Amino acid sequence: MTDATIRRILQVVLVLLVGWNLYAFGGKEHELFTTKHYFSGWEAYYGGYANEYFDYGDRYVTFNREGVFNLSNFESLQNNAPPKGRGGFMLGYDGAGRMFSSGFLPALIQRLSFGTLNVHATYFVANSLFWIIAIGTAWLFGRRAFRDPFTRFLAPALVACYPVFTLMFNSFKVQYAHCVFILAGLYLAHVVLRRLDLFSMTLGLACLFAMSAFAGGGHVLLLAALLAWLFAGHTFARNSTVMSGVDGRSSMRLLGAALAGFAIALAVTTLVRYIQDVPNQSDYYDMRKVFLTDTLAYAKAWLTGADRSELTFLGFKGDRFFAEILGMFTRSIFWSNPVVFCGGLLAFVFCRDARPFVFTAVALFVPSHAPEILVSWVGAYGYGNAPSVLLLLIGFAGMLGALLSVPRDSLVLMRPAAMVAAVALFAASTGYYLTGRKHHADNYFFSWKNIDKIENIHVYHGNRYTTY
Amino acid sequence: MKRNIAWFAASAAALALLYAPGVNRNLFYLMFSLSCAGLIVVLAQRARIRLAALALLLVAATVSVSAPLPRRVQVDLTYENSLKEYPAQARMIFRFELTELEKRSAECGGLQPYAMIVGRNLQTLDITANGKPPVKVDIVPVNERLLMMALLPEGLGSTVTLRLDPREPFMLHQGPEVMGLDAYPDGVYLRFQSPKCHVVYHAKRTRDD
Repeated sequence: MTDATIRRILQVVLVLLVGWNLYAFGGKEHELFTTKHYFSGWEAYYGGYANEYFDYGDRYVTFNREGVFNLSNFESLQNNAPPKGRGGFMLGYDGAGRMFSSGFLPALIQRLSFGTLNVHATYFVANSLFWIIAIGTAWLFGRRAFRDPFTRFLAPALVACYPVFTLMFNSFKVQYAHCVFILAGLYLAHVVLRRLDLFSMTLGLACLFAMSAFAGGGHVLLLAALLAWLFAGHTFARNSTVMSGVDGRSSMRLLGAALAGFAIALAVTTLVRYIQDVPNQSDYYDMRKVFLTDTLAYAKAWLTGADRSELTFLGFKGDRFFAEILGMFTRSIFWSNPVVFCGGLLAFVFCRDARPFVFTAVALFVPSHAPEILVSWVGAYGYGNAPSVLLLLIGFAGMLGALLSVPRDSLVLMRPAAMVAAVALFAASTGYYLTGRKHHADNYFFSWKNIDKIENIHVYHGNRYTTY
Repeated sequence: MKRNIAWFAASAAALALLYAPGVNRNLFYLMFSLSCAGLIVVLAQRARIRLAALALLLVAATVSVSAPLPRRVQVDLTYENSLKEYPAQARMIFRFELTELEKRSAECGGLQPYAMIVGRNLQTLDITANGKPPVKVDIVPVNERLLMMALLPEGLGSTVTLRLDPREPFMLHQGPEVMGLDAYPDGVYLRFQSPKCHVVYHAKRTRDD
């Protein structure tokens, strides 16, 4: 089979997977269904974790209670008048934290539609946009960072199937958006902005940070990702394809621009918050206390051998983070897709071009679980894994691409064996994503194993029938 | 660099021109618009693309969407914590049509019929299904309320009339269960279950007796 034929097949597979995911999952509401009383343990939430529903005139539609925060931000950003400050923006634990992803972007879409899109259609478009951007970035990374001609199709195909997107086409909360900023931001910074003058580089990064600051703390994670990426790129991954033509001087410029851009974004967003009277701190958590004060006190006690049972490390008392929480986070990312998890880690060993991706994924793993850490929540959010998983997916795809590219003059049977392995791993990983929806919903929401206990759920409202 | 500075300055000025006369005084909106404009200025090479993007952002910032969010119906309005109080002797009847139950039984294996009631003070309720009392009643605490799981007798037929007779005041959970243009607020439903399946039936309360 020629390389051209393989490419054509992969192109078709990519298009089919994108189409299938949109068709199969585009109309499903997962944000509320996972809290319904059909599942053991959730009986108290009759109708779901909600208090109200929309009246569209031809149907009623319930929405998750926590989506109210995001809808309030959306309402505030539909409005050209200044919001009433604290009254205009819902200041729950989400606060203004996702004001770009779940407020501005849907408002922009609805404005451009001159109000013809209803709120659900608007959010569907916003969520689809994030999905498409992630797919596109995976394609661009596949083209730029890997020598073989196949990863550029394998990576976006895997990203297209990732349940963090396909479960959330109808989400109001848009919790996962920071992972798109991280992936796209890394690509833009490393490949595009790096080649520009210092002003343009700083401006581009400042804009990315300003937007991602209101997409679930994406600005901090993007900066952390850049630091990890540059470190990897100039150390053990310096011979990888993505680092070809990249010198230390341009990386230093990029780093300087990133730090300056971050500072500018923080200053501007803080000023706007001050004028609009939207506080920079939530009533629900204290970032400085959790990440700095308490954690440093624990570290000091650990170094000096003092008793640390009453101290907290990353939001959890004593050694609980290491004894229990870290394992819980790791199980969550493992069960999100065991093939991708193991394959991605193996890619670090066997595929040089995958190393910057896998290293950055590992570096982001604990920081991306900041939401659970901040409120000491003993449950792993699937979207907390998302920044790491997206990078692992690309690294894993790179390894598959390398397997498909084993030269024809290799040892007997090595090429066919490699190709069979690549096809099997790709099929297993995408198949795992496409099946077991309840498992993925359970993995997205805390992995408490409530949702996927029952295989078949049939619900009747009079003669109307729904199945889950 | 000069070109990018000029374009970014022009974008900022254009948005400021919306702010000054009060066309758009939403600073968060303008800040995000400027961020989008800045990124496009830096990434787009062609003037046409920059102009088109900036025009779209300005139009969007000028348009004030008049279509409000759809009317919102709060299920638990005036109720404390979604619990509606009923006095003693406030009898309730729910009639459930067990559509396709035989088909589901064939698929799912033996289905055990339960009446599920969510609320408080449920131990004061006398339950009958088609005039017969339940075989067994369990009441378990779930999230600051109680869940009553009443195992119903076999052979109920294709319609179940569930009657709740409270001996004392009790509270029923009100939830946003909707389908089409029908709302089913009362936390009362039937669940037929096997290890493989849950088959759930909803019905609206008929008149109080």
